[in-house]
Amino acid sequence: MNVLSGGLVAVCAALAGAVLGCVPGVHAYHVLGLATVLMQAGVGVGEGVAPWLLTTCGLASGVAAFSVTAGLPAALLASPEESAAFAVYPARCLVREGRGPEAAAAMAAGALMAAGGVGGVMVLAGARLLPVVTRVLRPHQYWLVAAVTLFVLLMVCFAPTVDGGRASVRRRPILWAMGAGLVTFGLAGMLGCLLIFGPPYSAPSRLAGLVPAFVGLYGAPWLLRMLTGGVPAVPPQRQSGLPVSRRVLHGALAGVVGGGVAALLSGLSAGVGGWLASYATRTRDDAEVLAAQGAARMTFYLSAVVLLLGGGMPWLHRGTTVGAAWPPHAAWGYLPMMGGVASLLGAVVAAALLKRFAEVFVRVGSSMRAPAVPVLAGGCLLATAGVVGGWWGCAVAVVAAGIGLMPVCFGASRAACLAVVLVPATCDLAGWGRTMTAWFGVGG
Amino acid sequence: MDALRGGARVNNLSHFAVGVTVASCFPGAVRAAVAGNPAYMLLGGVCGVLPNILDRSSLSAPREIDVSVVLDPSRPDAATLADGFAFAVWRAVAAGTPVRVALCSVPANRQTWQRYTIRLDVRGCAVRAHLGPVVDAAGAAVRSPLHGTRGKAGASLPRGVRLGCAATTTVGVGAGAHFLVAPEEDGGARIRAVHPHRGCFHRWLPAGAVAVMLGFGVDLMAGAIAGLVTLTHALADGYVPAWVARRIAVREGAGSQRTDAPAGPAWPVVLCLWACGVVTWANLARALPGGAGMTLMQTLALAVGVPLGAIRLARYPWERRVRLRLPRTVRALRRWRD
Repeated sequence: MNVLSGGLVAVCAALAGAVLGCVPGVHAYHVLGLATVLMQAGVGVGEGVAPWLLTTCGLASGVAAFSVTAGLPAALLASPEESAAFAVYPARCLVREGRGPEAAAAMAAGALMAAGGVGGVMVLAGARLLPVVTRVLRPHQYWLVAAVTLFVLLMVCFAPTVDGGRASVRRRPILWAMGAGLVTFGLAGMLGCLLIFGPPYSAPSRLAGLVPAFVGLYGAPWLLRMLTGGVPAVPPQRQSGLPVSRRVLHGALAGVVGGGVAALLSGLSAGVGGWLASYATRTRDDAEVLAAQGAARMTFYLSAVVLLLGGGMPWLHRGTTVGAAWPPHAAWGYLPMMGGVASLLGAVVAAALLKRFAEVFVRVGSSMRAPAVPVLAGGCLLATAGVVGGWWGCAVAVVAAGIGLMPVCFGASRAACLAVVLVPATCDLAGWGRTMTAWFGVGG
Repeated sequence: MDALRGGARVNNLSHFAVGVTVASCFPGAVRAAVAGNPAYMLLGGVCGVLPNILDRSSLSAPREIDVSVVLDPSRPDAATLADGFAFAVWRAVAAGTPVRVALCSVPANRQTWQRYTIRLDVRGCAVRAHLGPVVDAAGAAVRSPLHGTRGKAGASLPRGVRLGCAATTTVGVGAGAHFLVAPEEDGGARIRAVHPHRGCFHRWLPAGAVAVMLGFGVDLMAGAIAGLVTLTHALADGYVPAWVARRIAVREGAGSQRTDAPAGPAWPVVLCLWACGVVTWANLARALPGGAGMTLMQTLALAVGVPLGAIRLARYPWERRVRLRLPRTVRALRRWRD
């Protein structure tokens, strides 16, 4: 009875998660919140079914399906949620070559491989590994996140690479890039602190509250360049199946490691983990980067679900609405196993639906004239920000767009925008939350 | 060895990780980090990337390029390469001043590059250029050079040219290759490869001095961490083994360097990060109240043995084609036994 009910809930959650992944502006934490509410409503339906089992299966499956299809709006509409922000640029490059569906498929393939890998590890060794990992790393969260923040600051501000790594030898562009990187890092960090410590709108979690900022920082620069003629018109898009190649596998492996690291360190997002992994493994191919991003997102959210339910992620605990149907302590040993199986199921269901969804996106895009595409994308961006934060969300997205344009204009690294999540996370872990809130003067 | 010779260096993330790992080897630093003072750990990371940062941000790397050899991607011509390089050498010899020459990479489009090879034939007093295929970011051939382009060409060099670098240089993806042609008293010239982004801070003294001053500004342990991390920078960079490999290669006269990838292959980075992760993990686990750490041998086996075994397995089918040659000592022992 338990297994049947769990499987049924997993399939339903996978369908819901796959559809929600295609909606611009919906964040994984929206899915988590929605799934929890549904789980709580349905707890009394199955007589004799453990509520934590339904919660685990539903959350893991829904989030896995969401992670597979969430690449579609990011790749085809440049409308990223925070974990897909780094996928926008490589995806737009592929879209300009008429390979937009391939970009979404690469992200989905990475996510699918990660679901297989992470699900397998969870089933086989999750129950033994996770407690040890959380026990060792928990006292060191602060300095590990601080080290990541410092590294990003050093790289984007003091070792800039101008002109795409082609060894610019001129002095002035490097100085401009350094200055722009520093200013962008500072402004993005301030914006992040404002949104985390004194948000003008309510959001299901702290990271979800940052979605308008990510939309502005990563989505809007491309849109503005397209509207001003800096980017050529979008050609017709060719359909593509799931690309399974050595490069995609390489990217997926890197993404799994990066997403896992990000999940274990409070405050880091899936995008940061994927970026670090791509940086570490010298990934340059677009499909490889996208696969790494997809895999990092899947790993991050699956680990987050398990750690969230297992009580290992204080960052999420403080922010999310998931507070009921916690598994009892005795069930923690089974939790990674159930989560692993459900996530595999959810990822497979979503992958089966992906091509249909991509066809819809391409059909809508191809039925419009060229000027309508950026207008539609802009509408999606504003809708994304509006769904999360209303008018305040739109205002935040506009401000973030101004900040996000600076690296584009001065040749700095767009990784400087990561300060929007890294700086507040470091400040929070350092215990400066109240001080920061008082500085900004917007919270209590 | 080829990878080391071709610049199998690790990137900034690995340098940072090495710095943090060295700092984590000091129990006092770990205790301080747990207590909320991450200064030692962060100092280790900063000192790890300090030479790179100082060289890049202070613009101390010698950036004045006297001769840039640039190909037209729509009509690549090997003669341009050979003539350009030979011109730089002749100019250095004639003017009696060092000439810095850059072989620029040739982006065919956003994701592909025209690969080419320059071979310095010292005995024949010539430089030979050869156009390769157009390659993608991973270095894989995408297509052959455009039809009608001149694929091979040569140009003469002055007598008395000596090599301080590999004889063959392949340029593909990335920053290209830089050389310094220094005239010598006997009328010849010495050609050596220089890193595009390395300047005075990559020599031992300045970076070490800055790091140690930075460290001793905090306290004794920070100074020790800074000094050790600066020492390990060169080791992690592969600079020392690469230098040794290059010397051997040049002496044998069969050296070659590749700049196909902007900073070399990925495996040294992955290897370095894995080893750093394992050692840091062991140090952090050892600092726990329960002391649930690994022994030194377990740590070493996991940090070094596992990745080397994985690389060995991954490369086995390729290596199977190479004829296995046992070391001379082993062969002599076997003969004696037989």
